[in-house]
Amino acid sequence: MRFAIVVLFLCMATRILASGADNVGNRDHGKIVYERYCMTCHGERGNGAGEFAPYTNPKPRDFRKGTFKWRSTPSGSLPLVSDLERTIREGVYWTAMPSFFVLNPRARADVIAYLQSFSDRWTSEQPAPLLVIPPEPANTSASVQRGRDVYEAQSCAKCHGDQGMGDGESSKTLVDDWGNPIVPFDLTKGHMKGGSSSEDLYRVFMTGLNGTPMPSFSDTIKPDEAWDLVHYIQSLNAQNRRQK
Amino acid sequence: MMRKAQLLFVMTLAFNLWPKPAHATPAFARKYGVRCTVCHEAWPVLNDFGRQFRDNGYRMNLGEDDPPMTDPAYWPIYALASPQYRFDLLKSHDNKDLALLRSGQFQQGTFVLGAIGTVGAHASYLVIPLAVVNGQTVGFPAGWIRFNDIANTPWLNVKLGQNEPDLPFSRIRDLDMTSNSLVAYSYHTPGSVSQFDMANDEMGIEIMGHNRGSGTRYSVNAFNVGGSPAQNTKFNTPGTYGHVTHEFQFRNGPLTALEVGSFASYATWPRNLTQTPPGGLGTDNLKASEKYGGEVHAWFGQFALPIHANFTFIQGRDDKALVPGGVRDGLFNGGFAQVIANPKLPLIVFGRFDFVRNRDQSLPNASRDFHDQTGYTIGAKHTFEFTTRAEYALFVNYSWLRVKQGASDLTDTTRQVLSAGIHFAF
Amino acid sequence: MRRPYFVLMMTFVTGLIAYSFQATYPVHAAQSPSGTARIIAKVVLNGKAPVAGRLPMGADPACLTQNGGKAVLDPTVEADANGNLKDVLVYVKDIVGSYPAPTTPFTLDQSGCMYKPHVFGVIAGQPVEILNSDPTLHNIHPLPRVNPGFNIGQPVKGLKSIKTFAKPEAPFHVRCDVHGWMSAYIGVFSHPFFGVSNDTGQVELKNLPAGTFQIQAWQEKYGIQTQSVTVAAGESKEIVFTFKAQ
Repeated sequence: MRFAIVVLFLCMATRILASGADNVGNRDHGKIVYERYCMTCHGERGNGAGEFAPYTNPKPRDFRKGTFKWRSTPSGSLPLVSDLERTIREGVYWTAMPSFFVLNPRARADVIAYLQSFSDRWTSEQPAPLLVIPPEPANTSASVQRGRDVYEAQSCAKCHGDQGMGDGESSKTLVDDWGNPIVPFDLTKGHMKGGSSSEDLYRVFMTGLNGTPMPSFSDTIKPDEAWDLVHYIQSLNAQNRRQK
Repeated sequence: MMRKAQLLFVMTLAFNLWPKPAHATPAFARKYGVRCTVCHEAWPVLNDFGRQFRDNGYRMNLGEDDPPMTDPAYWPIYALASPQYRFDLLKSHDNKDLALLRSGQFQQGTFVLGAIGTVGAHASYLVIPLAVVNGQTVGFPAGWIRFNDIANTPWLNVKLGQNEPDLPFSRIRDLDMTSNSLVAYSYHTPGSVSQFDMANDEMGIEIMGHNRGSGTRYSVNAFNVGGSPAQNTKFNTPGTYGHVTHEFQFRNGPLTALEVGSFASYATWPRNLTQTPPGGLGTDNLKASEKYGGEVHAWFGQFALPIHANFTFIQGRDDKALVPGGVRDGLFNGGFAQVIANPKLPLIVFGRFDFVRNRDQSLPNASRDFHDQTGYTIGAKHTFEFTTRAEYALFVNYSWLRVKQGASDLTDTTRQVLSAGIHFAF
Repeated sequence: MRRPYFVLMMTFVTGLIAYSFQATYPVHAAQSPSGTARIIAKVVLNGKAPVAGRLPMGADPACLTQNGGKAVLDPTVEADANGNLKDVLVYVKDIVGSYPAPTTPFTLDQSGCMYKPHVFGVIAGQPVEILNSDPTLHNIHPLPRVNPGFNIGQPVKGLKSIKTFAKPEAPFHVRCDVHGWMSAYIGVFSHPFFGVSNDTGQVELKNLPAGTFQIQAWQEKYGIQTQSVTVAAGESKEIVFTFKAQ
């Protein structure tokens, strides 16, 4: 009996001690997290073709190309690990991607290490430069009006429509990089997919959404114009913000 | 006197005899495209994600929960079944060859048909119209509506109806199918007429709140104690229960999370069973049994495949007026300690130690350890397949429970239950 | 000499002689081999080309205006009356060497709401200057499989962006999401021996070293055809690729 207890204790101890204790994600542990939480949508091979994928719109992310929407890096680049952590932690509103806020941060770091294994871009590419976001100026009605001017000058209405409802001339025939039909976001919906904070909005049009028709306008929008555009979009959003 | 106590004890045991339905809700798996293992440590035990989902009113809170956002082909219906072989052996220590109860048979186990989900942007519901346990039909064992995030804060949610209180460890979502464990929840001092079971679904109101992620939670229940005489005519046997918990998460080190909590219940029961006046039972007839205690949960190892240890301590007191012939308030200590290990996703094993130790007996002439209980339970469940649609698993449980002086001749009794079967959920 | 040793020696000598006679031994140099050989490829279509549809320029008034109101036809299969196929990318598949990328950028123009040129090749590392000559929003959205892609918006006429593709890659698609009909194809090569067939279906691969090469012709609808060609120094060879109309 005593022997059994000692053996049981040793087994437990080995498991406990083997759990690792550093800040770098552990890929093997991440695989377990992935199998528990992620596989039904993102697929066993990380190709976005999990069991539930046929019933989702938008489709779950295919990790094999290193193409991710919400990043702090230039168009075409890999995201930062902190970008992935943010997406996993907050989830993606209006989609089937849940918020994994309750997951232990170590589990999130582990699963990020695992999903990096699906694309060799993570090992072969140089780290991408970080988008520098200047401090946000005051959100005034003048800023909102200037933002409207930026919206028109950048021709956002071509896809997002004149009132931002996603019904522009070019909105009907868009496809994403995988050939799936995709529609421009309705900016009046009340919550943004990739986060509704000012910085989240800034990043969307200054880095583009990789894998979608949404381009980066970092070459053509200046930072102060960008903040005006953020304030304009937030004014579209605010009218229809849904109560939870 | 002793016989009456024995009889009451056996009745209470019998009440808890039949297998309780283990609750997992594949309806949510179908709705959100997740497997059982996202919400369940290994179903039916909830993990942090599942608990937060439940506290949010069974919603993911990403704009896709409400009926208008859901595919019309989705039906929030689920069904559970657990056909099993059950072997029961109750023996007295004095006469080891004579079994007080011996039965071994294939049973239907439980069958539950339920509906659960959101009714709108602000409310959720559950209704179980049908539960059949070994041929006995129980209509509407549970049904409630919950108003979520009142005043737009997760700290205020109100649930109305027959619902399970927020226990340190849920008996409905228990791995053990023998019903021969978690004895401290229903225990009363020997001789007490109260049939209040802390873990039962009770008809009443629950106010609960939580922070984001449900690391910190509180709940307060007020209810009419189920099974009370004339209970179904008015709110005449009030009870209340409260629970607070807080969880610490650790990023480094072998300890992944630590949760501490405390709870208390205060439930009345009419001491005079024969009196059922139309005007209701007077307050001098209603006497209280209390239970209060604390719990510690610890999770070790990988977050996604944890070893989960739980120690729950309960101290209980029954008013002496509840014990016919009682000379003092009965006081007892009890609780359970368990370890649940999840070595790989489809497999869960657990071991549990139950105990009740009387401190003050209410019955005169009862020795201090009269009806003390000690129990050991082990079990394993292996899930053959779990998808976003349904699952089926093999479970095996063995439980051993000793009751001091539990037999009519005051010798100890030992009850052993072996339960093995298939658990199927759709 | 003992008999076994003699057999062994003769085998070795025979092997050496055979080895030196290998005509298909590939060019193997760390430098950038070039020479004076030339391959002239002609690409023809066997059969009737599909009728090219009109592109919906009216979706954007600026596109209509830029084209003077005239109809613009789908450039997927461009064949003249004699069946000469334009815009076919012809290249050497298997040449090995390290060729420096030119620093002069290759210009891809968005003009009249069309990519000009429709098909082209660049050397890996060569800058590509993307120019918007239209008074409307275009976004440049290449979809490579090996190189990282990107998607940049150019809302105003006159804007230029410079991008580079660092790795050789088979021809991949470029599209504009705002104007769904806009389409281009880029092939990225590790060497300069590629070209695109002109209006008369001809393309010239110059300065080739002597040797035998796999020459491929890539057409966006009809796929790839391959021919093996051997050229000597100073020689000029003509080959024909025939695509079957479907």
